[in-house]
Amino acid sequence: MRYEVRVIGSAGQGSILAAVVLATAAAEEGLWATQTASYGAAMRSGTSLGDVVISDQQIDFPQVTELDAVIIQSQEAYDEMVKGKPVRLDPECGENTADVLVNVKPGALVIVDEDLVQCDLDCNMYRVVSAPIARTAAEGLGRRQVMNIVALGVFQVATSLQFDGKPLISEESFLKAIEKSVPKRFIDLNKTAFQEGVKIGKAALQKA
Amino acid sequence: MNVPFEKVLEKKESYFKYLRLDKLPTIWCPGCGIGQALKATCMALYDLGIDNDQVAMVSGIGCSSRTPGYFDGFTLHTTHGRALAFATGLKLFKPELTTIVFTGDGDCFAIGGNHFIHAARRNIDVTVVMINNWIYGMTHGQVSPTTPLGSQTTTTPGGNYEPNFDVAELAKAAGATYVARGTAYHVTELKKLIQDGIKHKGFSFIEVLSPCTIIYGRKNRMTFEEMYMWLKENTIPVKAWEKLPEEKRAGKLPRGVLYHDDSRPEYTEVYWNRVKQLSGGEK
Amino acid sequence: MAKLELKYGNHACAEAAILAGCRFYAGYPITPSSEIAERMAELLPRHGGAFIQMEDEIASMAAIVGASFAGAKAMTATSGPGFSLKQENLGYAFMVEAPCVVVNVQRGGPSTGLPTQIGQQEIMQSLWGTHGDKLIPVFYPGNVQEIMEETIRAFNWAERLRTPVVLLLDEVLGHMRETVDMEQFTPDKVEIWNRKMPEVPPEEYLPYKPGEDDVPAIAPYGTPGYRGHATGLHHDYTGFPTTNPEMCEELIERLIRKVKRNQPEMEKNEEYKLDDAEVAIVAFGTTARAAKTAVDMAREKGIKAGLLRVVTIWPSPEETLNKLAKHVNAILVPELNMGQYVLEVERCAKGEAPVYRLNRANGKVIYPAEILSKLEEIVKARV
Repeated sequence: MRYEVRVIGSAGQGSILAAVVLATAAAEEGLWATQTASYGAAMRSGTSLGDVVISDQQIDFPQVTELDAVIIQSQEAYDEMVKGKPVRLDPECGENTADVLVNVKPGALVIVDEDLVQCDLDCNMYRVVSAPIARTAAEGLGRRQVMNIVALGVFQVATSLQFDGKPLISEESFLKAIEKSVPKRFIDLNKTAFQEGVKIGKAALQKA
Repeated sequence: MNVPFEKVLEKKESYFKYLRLDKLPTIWCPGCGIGQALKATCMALYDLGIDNDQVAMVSGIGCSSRTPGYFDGFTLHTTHGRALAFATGLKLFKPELTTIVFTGDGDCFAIGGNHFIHAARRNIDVTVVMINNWIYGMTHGQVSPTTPLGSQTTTTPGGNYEPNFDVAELAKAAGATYVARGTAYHVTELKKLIQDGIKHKGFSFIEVLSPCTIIYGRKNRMTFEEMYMWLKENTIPVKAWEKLPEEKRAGKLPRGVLYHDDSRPEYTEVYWNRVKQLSGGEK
Repeated sequence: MAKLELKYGNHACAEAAILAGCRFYAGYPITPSSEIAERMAELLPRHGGAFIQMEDEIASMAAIVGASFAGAKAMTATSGPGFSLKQENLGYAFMVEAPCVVVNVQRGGPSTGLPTQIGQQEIMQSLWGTHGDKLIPVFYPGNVQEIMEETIRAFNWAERLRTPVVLLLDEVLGHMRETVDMEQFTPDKVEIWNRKMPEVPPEEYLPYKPGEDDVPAIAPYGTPGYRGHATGLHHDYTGFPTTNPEMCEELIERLIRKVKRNQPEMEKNEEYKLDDAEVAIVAFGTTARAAKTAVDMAREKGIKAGLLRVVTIWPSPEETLNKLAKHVNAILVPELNMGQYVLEVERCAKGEAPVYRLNRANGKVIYPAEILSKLEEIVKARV
């Protein structure tokens, strides 16, 4: 099994931290993981991304090649992921054209923020899960900064779509990973954020 | 005047215990002042009661940097300009070793300038004996950062046109907490200056004005005697210097302890105290 | 049962250094190696060791040699430009036989190059960078787990042979987080070698008189009675300068021989599907990981490919490479430079098999699919 995930967003949205928490959670689950990042010299502008490869055995090539899942946190990040708009394979779905994402496998999980990302994706090509991630962080928790962890909660639930109804990584592993990855005074906030993410993730799956 | 070398050894001076007698005579030219600085250093250690096993001597490249070869302690003859960086590593790991760096004007202030100012800034407990002979001697006479204006060198035909460093002021500005100037002519005084430098806990810098009789002297038409007489006549003890009116100071240099500050913390002490707090101090 | 823990490559290097007994670190900030220094700054004081950020790269190399002479297991870490600056003092460490470890997290070069991106351009420099002849061990791990293993191995060989050892990483390895099985990295399980100490009384002590293993037993500075001299000049058994041609010849031959004779024990490779391979890939570091995936992809397409992943880069696995060349029809050397280790592979292959290259030096990794298509090209050309 080789499972590739990308978390992408605008700089400052914590995409890399989310990837670190995800990879740590995989390790907690007893899985092997690599986490690589891509960033330029500037720390607070442009987009940034964190990639994770998860496997049940030691990993050879450590970077992602074909994504099984992508978490998109902002419009500019989405635009960066779009390869083009070829003619849609299945015309029944609505419009004639839809966006195709770079290096994303057919059948992959695409998690987007309901309010921040305007997307036009073929729902037969990808498993699109849209949820009010940033809103939950800002209004429900009073901290927009934890939207990355809310997104991980959504992701945790949504992976059940790909693994016969069972998530790839348990909630407990994620909570342990949060304890290991964030500063002490923010652990509780981030754990709550994750659990809120799980809730809106479940709601989104029921809607779909 | 020319005492045979064997006769010198027969004297069995007290400070001989710091010399590797089997490595003598030195490679230095007749009239060179580096030997005086080595002798002054040995006498200082003797009077301080510091044993050979307690001293590390580090140097870079150049005439003065050959000194550790003749010194019977833990000695390291390193790369050009880097003596203070090597010494910093050694001293930080073994603060109990009295660490002396022998260097010259080119080694210390040209290629090694950066290490000098930073070692001084840290106030690490190293004693620097800097032989200032105004020229690159080992490579046969090129201009150095302390060559006086107008002096003849092989790379400034027609006379030196580059301004030079006042190295004592530079040391002080960089953070050295003991700054002194002595000469190869005033050996007893030099011994006292080096002794106080070793005793001082912090970065000590002793500039030793030392004639390069063969290279600098010949190029600038000064004899051995003239060079030593120059040191005698143109360096003034600090106390007298302070009373000297400005117009009489031209062309002359003060001699003695130029700056001494015991208030600043020493680097290795600060570091190992931190370690003690964190680990209980075991290596 | 594996005890998996996610570790950042550069941090793993620092943590393994502490396990290996490193108690002195001097460094200067440079991307992509700075996290090693940052971790050491945290760890060393807690383990009773010394950390110092020096004024420049040259000084860092000097300081670790100074500390090494005082008895410390010492390390510095840097990247391309800094590695160039360290060369003179690296040569000094080789000449005076100061055990130390120099980590070079390779980025894209030449010059300032591509500071945040990967390169494998110091394969040759790590051996030949300093002036004068030299042979030092150079290790290049392929994953974060191996970063820990190789860091410990680097310290062990440095101490045993009294030599600087270069540990090559690359930007992807250094800046990657990966699961590590921590089971083997408990203090009771890690094997540690220490430098030998003089066994003669002080009056018979000759710091540079080698033992039968060609390694001298130099006492740490400060050991009562065992005073000595070290110089970068050619020197005799006492450590004092000499220009005696016999003595100089003996010294330079011994310095190289003491590493070379240990090549068989030092050699470390990973062999993957080589038994029936018709075409072999020789690779290291991050590129070898792409190569391993490419081998599987090629096998699916019916190409009998295999991989020799070299970990001990220098001294090179001469005989292994020669045997490999006799065993396969072709060799491919993919590397993130304009063709460096391929020259060594060609030399060792001695014409037994054609050696192909796949080079890139633009800051990007080589992907498995690219190696696969090169393999296909080779197979086509050979039929």
